[in-house]
Amino acid sequence: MKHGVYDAIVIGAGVVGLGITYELSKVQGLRTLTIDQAYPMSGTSGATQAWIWVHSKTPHHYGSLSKASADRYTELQDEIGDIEYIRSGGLSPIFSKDGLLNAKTLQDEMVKANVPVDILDRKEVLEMEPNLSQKIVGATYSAIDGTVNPFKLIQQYHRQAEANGAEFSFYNEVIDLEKTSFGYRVHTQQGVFETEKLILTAGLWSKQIGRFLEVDIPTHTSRGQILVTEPTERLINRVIVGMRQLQNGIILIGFSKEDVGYDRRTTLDVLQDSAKRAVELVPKLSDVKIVRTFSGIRVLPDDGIPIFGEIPEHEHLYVAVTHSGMTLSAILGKRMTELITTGKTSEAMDAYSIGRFQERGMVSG
Amino acid sequence: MATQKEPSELIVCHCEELTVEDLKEAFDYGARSFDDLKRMSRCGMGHCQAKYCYNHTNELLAKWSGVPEEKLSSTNHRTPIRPVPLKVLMEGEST
Ligand SMILES: Cc1cc2nc3c(=O)[nH]c(=O)nc-3n(C[C@H](O)[C@H](O)[C@H](O)COP(=O)(O)OP(=O)(O)OC[C@H]3O[C@@H](n4cnc5c(N)ncnc54)[C@H](O)[C@@H]3O)c2cc1C
Repeated sequence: MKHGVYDAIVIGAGVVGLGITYELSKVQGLRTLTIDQAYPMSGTSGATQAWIWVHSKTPHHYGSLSKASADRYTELQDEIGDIEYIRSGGLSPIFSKDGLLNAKTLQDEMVKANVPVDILDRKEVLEMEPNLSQKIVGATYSAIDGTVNPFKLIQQYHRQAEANGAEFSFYNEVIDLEKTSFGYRVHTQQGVFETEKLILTAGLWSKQIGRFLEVDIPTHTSRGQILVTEPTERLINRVIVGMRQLQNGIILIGFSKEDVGYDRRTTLDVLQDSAKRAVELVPKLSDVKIVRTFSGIRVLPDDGIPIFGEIPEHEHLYVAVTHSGMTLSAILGKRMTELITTGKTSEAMDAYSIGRFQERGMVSG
Repeated sequence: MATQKEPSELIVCHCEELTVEDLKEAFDYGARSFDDLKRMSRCGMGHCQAKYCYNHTNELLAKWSGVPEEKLSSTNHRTPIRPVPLKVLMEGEST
């Protein structure tokens, strides 16, 4: 059986936990352990589109946070090695007049976050992306949106953190947690570890893990199914909501959101519907072959925006659970490290405190 | 068979041109299942979609980890069985 005493233990080695582990590993003298019941990428972080997506993240403070993360990726690209971060720009197509009205509201909100959003008409969209359908009415566009290679991002976080001295324990499930006078005791399949600070980043499993300490983490799940095409000629140059084309020509397509709990199957009806929507958007896709499909389970905080910070009345217990963890991992890593080492963050993160659910009486129990 | 010595430059995944050594590197980073190796190295993500490399990769995993092959966690085989154009998928009968 293993044992040990740490300054900080991170539970969950998905993109969020690894982003935090990496930033913590740069702090001199801090001993950390990151535990996962399986292996990085076995959770949601291995079944994702990995857009670094900013322009529709409302309210504006969430837009600002996403933008700060996108900016941090440009630095990480040099700092941790090639993660294939590409700021291609992103388009969110509009097919109706109502859509145009919503676009204006979005634009006004994002101005407050300093995120440029352009409203394009049909002609402008087709100039940018000639393979999109003629039926399009317009689109919102932002130059700040882009993509990352999720596998590379996760491996670089892991490698760099390990090189900096971070410790890892994989294929080791956390089975119980206990408060101690010193901090927390973490019971795992392979032994017991003591830590002063404990960080929960177990994605959709965080809810279960919180219960070990009687903390309610109000989240729900949403399945997404993705179609993967063969490598094909360049059909799109930017992220078009629902799809991205990788450097090697493969296109990832996904539109679905299903509330089915933890069920990672793919289903024919949803795949067919996604194929239809993709062809409506990019007619040339009709002859392109699908070689593979996969599905992933998103974790969504009950009000849609990230849950981040120290948990009220639980000293030294921290949480980072969010949708769009690919977009946010860079900034959440930074902010969590500030919080752990100085007790505060350089920018206000109050809006993301888990305490908000209590205040609103949203705790489900 | 798993008992034979594998030359490290032997290609396991032909589509993505991955050698025994490439997979061993991922194993040394803690990967313990076919899916772990796949996400680390793209093994099995190419044209054949793991039809050719799956068994060989599992033999290697079994040898390195000491876990019998039948106890390794298996990958999900999903639709489509062979590549199919979107227009065909769209029109196929939903069951
Ligand atoms: C189809 C789809 C498309 C998406 N597209 C995008 C996108 O384009 N852009 C974007 O930003 N986001 C996207 N997302 C969301 C994004 O992928 C997730 O927000 C992100 O991967 C979550 O990371 P995480 O680290 O919080 O969770 P995970 O990756 O799930 O990591 C949690 C880890 O905790 C571990 N764990 C659980 N329980 C225990 C336990 N008891 N003991 C030890 N370890 C445990 C798990 O094994 C897992 O590795 C998408 C999601 C899906 C499903």
